Amino acid sequence: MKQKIVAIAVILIIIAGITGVAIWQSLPHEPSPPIPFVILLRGNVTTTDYSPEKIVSISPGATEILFALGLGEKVVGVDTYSDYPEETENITKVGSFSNPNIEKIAELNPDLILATGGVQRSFVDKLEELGWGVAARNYEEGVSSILSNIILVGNFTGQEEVAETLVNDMNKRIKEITDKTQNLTIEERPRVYIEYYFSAKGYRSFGSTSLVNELIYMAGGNNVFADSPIQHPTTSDEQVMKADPEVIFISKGAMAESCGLTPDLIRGREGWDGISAVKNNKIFEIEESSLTRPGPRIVDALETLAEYIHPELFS
Amino acid sequence: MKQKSGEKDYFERFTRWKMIIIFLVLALMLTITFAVTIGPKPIPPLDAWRIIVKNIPFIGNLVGDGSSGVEYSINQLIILQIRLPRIIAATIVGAALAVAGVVLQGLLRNPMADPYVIGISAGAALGASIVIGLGIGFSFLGIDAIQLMAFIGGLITVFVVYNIARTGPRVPMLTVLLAGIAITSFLSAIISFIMITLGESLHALLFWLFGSFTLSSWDNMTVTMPVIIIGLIVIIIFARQLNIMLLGEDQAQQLGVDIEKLKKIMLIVASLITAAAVSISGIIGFIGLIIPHIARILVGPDHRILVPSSALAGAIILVLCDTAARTIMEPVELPVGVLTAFFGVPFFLYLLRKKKSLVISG
Repeated sequence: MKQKIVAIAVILIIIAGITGVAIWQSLPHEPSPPIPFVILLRGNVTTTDYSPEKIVSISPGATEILFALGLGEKVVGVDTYSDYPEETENITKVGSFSNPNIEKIAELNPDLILATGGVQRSFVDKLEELGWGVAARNYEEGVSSILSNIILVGNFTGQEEVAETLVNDMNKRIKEITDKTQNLTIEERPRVYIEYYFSAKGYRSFGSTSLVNELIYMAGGNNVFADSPIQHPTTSDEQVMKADPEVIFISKGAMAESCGLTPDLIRGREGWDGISAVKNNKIFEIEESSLTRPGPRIVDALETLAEYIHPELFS
Repeated sequence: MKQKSGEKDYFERFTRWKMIIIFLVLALMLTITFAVTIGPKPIPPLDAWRIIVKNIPFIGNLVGDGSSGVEYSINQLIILQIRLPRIIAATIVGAALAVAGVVLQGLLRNPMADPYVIGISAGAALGASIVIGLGIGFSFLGIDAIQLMAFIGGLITVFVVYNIARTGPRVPMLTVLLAGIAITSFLSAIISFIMITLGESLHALLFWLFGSFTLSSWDNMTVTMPVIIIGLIVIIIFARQLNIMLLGEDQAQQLGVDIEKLKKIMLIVASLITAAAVSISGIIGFIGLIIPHIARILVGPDHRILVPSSALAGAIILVLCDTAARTIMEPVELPVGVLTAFFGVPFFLYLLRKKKSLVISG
């Protein structure tokens, strides 16, 4: 009997240990797991000397890159979240971002597929089984990864020059902003709060591992939830009031629409009239898809943020 | 019941059972041949079957080439590498869950029991969420990390539940049930916590938790399929003893059945096939709870017919549900678990109204 209790105790301790480690690890102190950008080619081609005729993208960011590189005509399939630019409306849909339809992709028989890791990793494995080979993975994170993704896509589609021009242009626009913001001290950086969704459970914002956090910093602001290790933290009245943001953005898009998030709603929240941003009427809207989607329009979002956060620097 | 000579009674019953099995096997074959011709890409049924037959050794050579070229190779890819693996996966998962449900309802003598009630689903889900949380990616013998950890997580949990419930040489089934429910809640709390911290890979976990055959491939069935088939055979062999269990543990003991050994073997086998099924498809509800009841209403409580007909019925229903899941909202796929409940429950309620009694024992 005693032995049994010991055995059970040992098992429980092992389980507790494993889950403890798992929980600790799964807290994203550093961006983990890496979510790479993935380029698949039919067959086991690894050469970049390749010009695909049929392209499928199962990531909205990748779709925008393709169109920005002038490859829209060759895109034969996209995921249902790819809604920019407008031309995507008439392109065959191959399932959602988180659950792409493998048979639909196989039917289109594309020469090149653009995907991501993370939620799509097992789908990429399945595509590999079906005869597409991973030609490149980009493990970079943040805004710089978008630029390198554009270069990569350019390399595999024979659009190197277009890609280079686009990236140079984006870099120039980014530099125009960061030149003015990079040396700002923490006191000179207005506290920024961005809300993209709310429900009875609380308000959803962006934490340290999000792309948005980086954009706020680049735009010369200070994300009030920059310390949150969670990518999309849920916050409360109390937390927002304590942080006292000087500028508030709400995202404009499907998420905000679904819960009726508007600047007026923010102003009307009980107790929020004491918050600096509300007092000084610094509540702005920003396009959700440009803000959160790793595509070329990220620079538009950066410029919008910068203009509203530092109207004195950018006009 | 009318008094008949035992021999004649047995013979009649045997003939009836044979008919039921033959009918269900034919229905399953029909379901599979139907399912393979349906999908986003319209492939004529004749072409679909030709592709399958062509790939059966020996017989394949008897069939002439249909067409060739790109179109044919795409069709071949879709039939052999996308549709067929998921149909076969649905077949074995459906059979495994239904039979595990029969065994657990019998052992626990509880009509509310299902294969997940003793903690397998929560343990498997924890295993999967750990892998997804850590972003581990490896595969071994065609089994990927999520599959492997789900399988191990499920089995460890049952092992813990079993040992908590054990008092000396006896394992009171009510304690197993309670311990299972308690451990399930405990693990669910841990899983919820992991989910909050997951960020973007949350989608991957939710996708897994819903249960799906989207990613089924031949490779990830190489180990799990034999486990399930052997498990099903073992349970069919023990069907007679399971009948005696229904008389109650004391009576079974008097009839000379080693009840503790039987419980142990059945729990192990039912857990193994459930964990194997979960590792293939994620957590699919309803099949393991309702199919045994449907089968019991239709063929009676004798495990010798109940076990095989539950296996076949579970397979048929799950293949049908998966076919619906991948076609009705095309190109977006629905989680198959949504459909199992949506189609299965009304059918079950209809049977329940008609029979007015839920036969669990005797």
